[in-house]
Amino acid sequence: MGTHKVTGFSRFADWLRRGTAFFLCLVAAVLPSRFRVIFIEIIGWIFQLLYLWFKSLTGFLIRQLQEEKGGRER
Amino acid sequence: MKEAAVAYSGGTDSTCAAALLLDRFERVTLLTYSRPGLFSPENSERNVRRLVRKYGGDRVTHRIIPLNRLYDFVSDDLRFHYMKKYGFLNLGGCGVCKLTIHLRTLVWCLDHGITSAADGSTRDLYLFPTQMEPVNREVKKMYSRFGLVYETPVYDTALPENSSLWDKILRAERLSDESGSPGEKGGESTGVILYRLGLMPAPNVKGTLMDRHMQSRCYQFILPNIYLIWNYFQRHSYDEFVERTVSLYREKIRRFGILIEEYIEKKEKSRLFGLIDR
Repeated sequence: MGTHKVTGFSRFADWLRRGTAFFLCLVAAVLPSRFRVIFIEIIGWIFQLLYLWFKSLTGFLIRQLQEEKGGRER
Repeated sequence: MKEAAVAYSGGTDSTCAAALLLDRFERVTLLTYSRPGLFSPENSERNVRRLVRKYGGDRVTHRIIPLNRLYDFVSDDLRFHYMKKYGFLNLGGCGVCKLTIHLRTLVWCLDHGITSAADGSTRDLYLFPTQMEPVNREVKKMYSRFGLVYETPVYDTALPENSSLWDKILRAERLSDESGSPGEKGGESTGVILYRLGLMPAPNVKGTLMDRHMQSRCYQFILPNIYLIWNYFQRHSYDEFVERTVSLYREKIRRFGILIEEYIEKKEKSRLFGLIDR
């Protein structure tokens, strides 16, 4: 398998993602076990919430577009 | 009596592994582990009840065992050494957690005279170190060193058809692999097998609310996966990742093998004995 390819994102967004991942891992790496668990759990919750927000937003947009398309066809 | 132990989360994979072992063993002990950051291990009792209903309470035993001190030890053991050598790959919490589970299962088997152990590892979670075939081979060697057989009875089952979007995101890279996706292996998924055995109400419950309510919950896989997808795979290939991970876990397993040897020899006076919550 080849390396992960970034397509459709700006170089800045790519740098931001890499930097964010590196920084979060750096914090986790220096924490002792129990604190690391709490820190990683919080990050996990934040990403889950962002994912759910993204999912509901895209779902809403798709529904709106389908309604719009249905209206035009009528 | 032919008896086996199963590292049991309560999900479809480990339930399927237990069900398949119950065809070959007279008794199966399901070992569910709890530790800080792993919530609601009692959720596993849902599928234990299903297994007991089908196979009988005399054949299925369930234990919830705390892993607190052992997990802290495995997690913090030589962490700056590993960090220096393997970078953030050492942060793979799921690998550390599963390695702790293997260690505790091995000790449990030794204490109870059980010679067969299994779990619900599948090809599905290909970013999780202890679900990788080469790492599993090292784990098998660790068990066999102490006269035990470690099995992964559902490793080659098919991927479920309708997994959640989150699973699809995590799997996206592997699915674009020219060598084929892990889902191409085997015929039936664990959910389908359980449905066929009458242990599940539907053939694919993975990723559903019901699935979440029948096993422990943990979101600590997210950060290591974010690192891999956002950072590591920008510079390295999946094969390099596997190679480095296998090397890291081989080192860890070798160290813990020495601890187990000491445990067999010295029992109460060994270092491992003090780390085990009973």
